[in-house]
Amino acid sequence: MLEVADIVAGYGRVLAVQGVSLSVAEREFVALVGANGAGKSTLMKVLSGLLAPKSGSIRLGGRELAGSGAEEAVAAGIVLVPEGRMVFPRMTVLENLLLGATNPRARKDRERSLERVFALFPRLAERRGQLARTLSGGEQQMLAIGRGLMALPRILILDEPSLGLSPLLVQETYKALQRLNADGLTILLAEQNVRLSLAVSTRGYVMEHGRIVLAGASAKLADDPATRKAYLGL
Amino acid sequence: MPIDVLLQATTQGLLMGSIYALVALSLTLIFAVGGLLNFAHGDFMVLAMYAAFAVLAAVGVDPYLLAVPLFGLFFLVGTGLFRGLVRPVLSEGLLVGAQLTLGMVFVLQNAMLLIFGGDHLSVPTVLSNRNVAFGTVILPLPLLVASAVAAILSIFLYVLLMRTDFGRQVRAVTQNRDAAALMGIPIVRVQAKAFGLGIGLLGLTGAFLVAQFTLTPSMGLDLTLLALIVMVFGGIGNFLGCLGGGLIIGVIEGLGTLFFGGTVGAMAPYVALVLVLLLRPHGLFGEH
Repeated sequence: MLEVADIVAGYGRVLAVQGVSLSVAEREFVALVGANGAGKSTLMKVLSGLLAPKSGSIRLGGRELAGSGAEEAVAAGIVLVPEGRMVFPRMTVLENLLLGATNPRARKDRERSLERVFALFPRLAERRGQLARTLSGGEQQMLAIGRGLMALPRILILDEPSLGLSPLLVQETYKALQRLNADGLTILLAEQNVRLSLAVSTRGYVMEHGRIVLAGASAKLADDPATRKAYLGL
Repeated sequence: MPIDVLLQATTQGLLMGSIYALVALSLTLIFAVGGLLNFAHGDFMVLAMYAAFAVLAAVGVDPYLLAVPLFGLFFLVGTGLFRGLVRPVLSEGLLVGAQLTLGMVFVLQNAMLLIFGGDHLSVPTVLSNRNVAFGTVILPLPLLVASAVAAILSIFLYVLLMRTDFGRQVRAVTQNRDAAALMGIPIVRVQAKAFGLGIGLLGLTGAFLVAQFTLTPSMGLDLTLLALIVMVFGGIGNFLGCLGGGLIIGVIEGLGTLFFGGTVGAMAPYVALVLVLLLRPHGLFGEH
């Protein structure tokens, strides 16, 4: 469904992404793993339309989206839950969620989406009137994911959702993602937490210095001697 | 000091204050969406007053009837200015934006000087020279109408920002631009609309205020400064703070004039600003 080919991108003359190709099929759960600085976040920014690539193509359902901006990407169905969550701090939980459903396709189903998100994260329903900045880190992550779901994504992309969360909350977040995937949501997950992200995903890519160096079934990658040595410390 | 006189000055101060609040609100709106400090703010309002004067002189239409057309016209001018001039310099930082709007001050003031001359003008409206008495307090009807309109518009603007999709989008752009883009918010369109709304409100307010002032082409900067004081007073970017700040500044000015006369009284808001900044650097209603 998502076809990414030969993406080259970066800020100024530094090319953090140097010719990345990857694909995600409908209903798949794909992990993109790699160390800090491997270029994952830059690639996520390109996919979400925040950053225009220098070259390469991004196709969703056959439609070319490279360089056409975030508004187009969201309208087409690529939705990013960004690193650091980026909730709107001085707005309530409810307002944050409503903003998620800005694109015209999602706006029509806003009320129904809201019920779904509240069912998935009952904590958000309890705190709907609270300002987002008063939430705990785990709750903010729920809010960021919930807000992403409000956009009715065809593919949900998450950048380091485990960052800054306690192991228990990371487990909880991942369980929620697995449930969403089981319900039919296509997910691309960029993570430094290699062990966990390969455990929940079906397929994975390993990124290093702006390039994909390994790809395959997550279980296989987790067993691969190179991955084990470099990322799992085994 | 007899109590009637105090009451009179306070009431008149509150009425002027609601007008200051509205001007500061529109200044805040423009600042909020793009980080642009609009030094030409007051000059746009003066331009609206001169436009009202010109129409009155040419075809005899009362300024009050021009409020809505001037709103529409200034809204369009605002969105056009944003797309043509403001947006290209927004990413260059606060100083370049300030240079742009200071440049607009000179263009607007000199254009008005060129067209209307430097003489002081009074513009009569249907309500000129009429007063309303509330007990011992006597209020000029034009001021009463202008401040009532300003109060209604302030509330309208506040509700628009806090309760509607558009308002949420404006605040999202203000709080985190990248996150707002990730929501699929059309950033430039929202900014242009907010900018247009800010300028449009000046067109509308100008039509209602024209009877309240003696016009000169250079009076805009004073209005801008007062709006800036109110904005800083209430905590920059704080919409509710603007409302409170406007009323307080109006009363301070009114009482200052009563106690110390016109010249020294006009300094009172500035003294108040210095005091507030010394004691509460983030403004009277600011956070942190």
